[in-house]
Amino acid sequence: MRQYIIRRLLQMIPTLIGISIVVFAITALVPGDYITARNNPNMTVEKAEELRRLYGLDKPDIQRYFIWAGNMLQGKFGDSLQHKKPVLEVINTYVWNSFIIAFCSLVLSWFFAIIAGVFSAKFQYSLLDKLITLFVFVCMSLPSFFIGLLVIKIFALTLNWFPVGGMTTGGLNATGWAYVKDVAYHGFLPILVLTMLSTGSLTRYFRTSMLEVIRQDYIRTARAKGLKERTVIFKHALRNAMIPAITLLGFELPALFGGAIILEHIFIWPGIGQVYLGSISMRDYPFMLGFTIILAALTLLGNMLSDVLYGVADPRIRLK
Amino acid sequence: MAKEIVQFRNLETHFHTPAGIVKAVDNVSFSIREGETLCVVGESGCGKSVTAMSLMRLVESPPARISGEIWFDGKDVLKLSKKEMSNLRGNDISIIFQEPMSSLNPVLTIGEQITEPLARHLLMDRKEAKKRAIELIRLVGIPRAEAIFDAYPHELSGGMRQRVMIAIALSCNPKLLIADEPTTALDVTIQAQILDLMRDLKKKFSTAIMLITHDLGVVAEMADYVVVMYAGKIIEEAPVLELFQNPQHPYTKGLLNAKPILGQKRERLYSIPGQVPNPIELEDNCHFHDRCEYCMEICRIKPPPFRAHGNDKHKTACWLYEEEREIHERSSHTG
Amino acid sequence: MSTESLPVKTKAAANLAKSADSPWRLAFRQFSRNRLAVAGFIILLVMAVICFIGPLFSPYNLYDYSIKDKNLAPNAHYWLGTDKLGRDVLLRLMLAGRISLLVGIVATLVTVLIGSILGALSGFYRKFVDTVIMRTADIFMSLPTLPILIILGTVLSDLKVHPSYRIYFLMLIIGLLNWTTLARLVRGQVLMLREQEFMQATEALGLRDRRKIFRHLLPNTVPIIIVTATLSVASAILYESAMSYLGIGVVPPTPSWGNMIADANSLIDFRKRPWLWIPPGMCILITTVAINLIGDGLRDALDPKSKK
Repeated sequence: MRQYIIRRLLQMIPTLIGISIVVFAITALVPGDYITARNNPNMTVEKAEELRRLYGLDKPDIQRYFIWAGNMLQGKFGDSLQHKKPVLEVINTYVWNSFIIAFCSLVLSWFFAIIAGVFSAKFQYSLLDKLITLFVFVCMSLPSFFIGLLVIKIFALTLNWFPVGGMTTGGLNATGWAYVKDVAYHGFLPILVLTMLSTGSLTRYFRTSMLEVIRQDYIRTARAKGLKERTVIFKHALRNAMIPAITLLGFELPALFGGAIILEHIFIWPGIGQVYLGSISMRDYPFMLGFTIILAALTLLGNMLSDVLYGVADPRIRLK
Repeated sequence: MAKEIVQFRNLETHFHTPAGIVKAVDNVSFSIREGETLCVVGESGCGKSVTAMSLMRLVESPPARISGEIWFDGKDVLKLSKKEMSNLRGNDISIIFQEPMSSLNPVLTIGEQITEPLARHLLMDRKEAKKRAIELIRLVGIPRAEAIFDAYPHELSGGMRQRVMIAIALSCNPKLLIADEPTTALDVTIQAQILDLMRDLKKKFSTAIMLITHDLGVVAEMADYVVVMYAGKIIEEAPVLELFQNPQHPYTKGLLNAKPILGQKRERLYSIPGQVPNPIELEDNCHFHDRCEYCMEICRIKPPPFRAHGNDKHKTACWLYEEEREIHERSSHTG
Repeated sequence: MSTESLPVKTKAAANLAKSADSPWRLAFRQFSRNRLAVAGFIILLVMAVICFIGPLFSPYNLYDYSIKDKNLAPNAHYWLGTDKLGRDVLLRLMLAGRISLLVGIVATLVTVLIGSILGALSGFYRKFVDTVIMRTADIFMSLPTLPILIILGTVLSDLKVHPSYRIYFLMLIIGLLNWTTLARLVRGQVLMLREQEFMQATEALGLRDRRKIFRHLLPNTVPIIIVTATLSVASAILYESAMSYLGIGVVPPTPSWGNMIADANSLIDFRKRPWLWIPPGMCILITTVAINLIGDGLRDALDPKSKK
């Protein structure tokens, strides 16, 4: 297992290099830079040139790539131009806000998807199954920003049940339990939307997986043993259906830490996604590049994690 | 005569498929007596397994309609509630399937799978159940029972897994054990071992066995009584010796001929010409007629009655033994 | 015999009876039995017809509108109301639909073109070519799609691309970032197909590689391409609308469903004038649901292996 992980990590290196080149090339396409994006009327040409030299923006692209990549290798992500702080520090400040909603919605969507998928498969072709299927398709096709706006309109403006946006009530400065409650109150709507977005395809996955498992001989054996239907479904069938699903857990990794760019933008959630969106419009290269690379690395790590998890979950593979 | 523990009365299991109705089991009646091994013989697709699964009420897909009666222990199994039925399964009636490789749940340990019915039906606690499970594993002839208890199915060979299946089936001392082609998927030597094991266990517990097979060798070794099925119907039934010595139905004769006999030299192994008919929308006649060398006019248009001809334990459904065919033939000749 | 083997047998018998039909006919029959998929198809068709023909019947146009009719709620004259310039929302909605559907379809064509060719080359030549293409696919797959799209959209804005050309770039960008899934699927198919007998026959005939790939291999992957392409139209529309909503996709004056929703960014419009942004949102939702339903129906009909 250890060897396998090491081998997989090594295989990631060329891919990461490729990614870094592509990402750098794309950002290099962007005309203008941080200095022009700030659009400061007091900025003289000389001052701008000096700043560019300071930030290393005056060098040719290829040279800048190697400087950047070299720093990256040493774990130096540089300073965010916009936040005047090291990139990693900025990430650390905001990523946990994103993590909160991502994690909650991960747990919730898995919970709902398992329930819906299991019942949909158990009662295949029933009305319930058809309703769930339709719901799945709607969830899979939701434009996140529109549905975000819609729930704000309905639940925050019309019904006034939840706040329009933000993560905490301004000026409340609550601590402890009150703080948690305040965040939960603000987080409800973004978590709701995020959960809806991911529940669809997951439900579908569990349904197909369950349908396949339910037809297996060992399910017939379990029934022939006189076990209760509940035991047959939730113990014998679900455990088997979960194994391929475990791999999906690995793929969730980038979503957990990547932030939901559009939803955070709409709900004014101070997460990493919103900061990232801001960094693009501010031409904050170090942050933009650094975070994109981290996202890509998380994707690769997630792929690896899902393979490892599969091995851990399946006794047939575990012992090999 | 021993008490009959299962009686199939006019059992009909029909599948409704988009292509038409499949009469997988069509008006089947027979009984199994206490302590007896009854073999159901026939080619694949003749309805043997569906008959057994109808008794277990585990026929699931495609949507099937089961009618008739199956009496077990004084109750009509088909009328039991779901809960009563699941109390029966694995407890009074248990079953061993054909595919030992896929019949055990790959993600649960052997121990877990054996103790389940013990906890469910005999209400044993964990410790008791484990003790009993290890006894059972030993009983079915698996060495290192403690280690096997914690093993996963994929660590065992096919023969071992089938032994585990037998252990599960026997765990609650069932009155009837259904074995659905228990040895078909196994190597020949393992087959013999499993059959020996079943015979020993039967002697020990005097469990009735309903053994489903297409292998007449297995029948000869195991059966007390034989039921021959063809295309959803019983075409012949008799005690095993009687059947082997004096087969009546041309299909049974064909089956017996198709079996190689040791020491007997034959140019080619006999095989019944033709194939099992398409099960969809069978006509109301003798389904074997187009493969039968004695086929007569009446065979094509009318199903033969199933009854004894002479020996009252030996019943056959074949026009060859009926008076009526002569009347019919005469009338068709004159007319 | 096990109980499970029975339906298979009957199904096989049923297929035998219909073996005279071509696989496409069978697929069509299968598809038309799927009620959800047919419903999706009809919805999409209606949507497309309204968007492409509807504007011809509209009494309004986008260049000649009266500012005094601005910000009207839906009424008998303006069924979906008017926007801040007094333009008919329904008309804009239909014109936006044209753009959104077009972007979705053309972006998918780009995806199909790149994905199927690279996939086929990869599967056909294997070895070095395969390694290069699949490594590249790995890289593209690990790129976070939305962030990259946002960066590229920003690039478009900064390059001051004219709004009317912008949609072409958009189609290209969205198509380019999506090719990996299809390439992998096609590659898998080609790897399998090239071992089959008919390919050995082409070997014996001495056909050129190009002919082998384009006349013999790729046509056999068409079902899988159709299914993937259909589903990718939906995702392309979603990407386009998200980008347009952020103001870096299709930009005004060219209307698109996404940039119409961007009206909701003004608090007063968001609160008081839902007719400006809810209809385009619903259009996106309905269209993508319809496409996904069709795609799913097609998958069941064309790709029996993936059917569970």
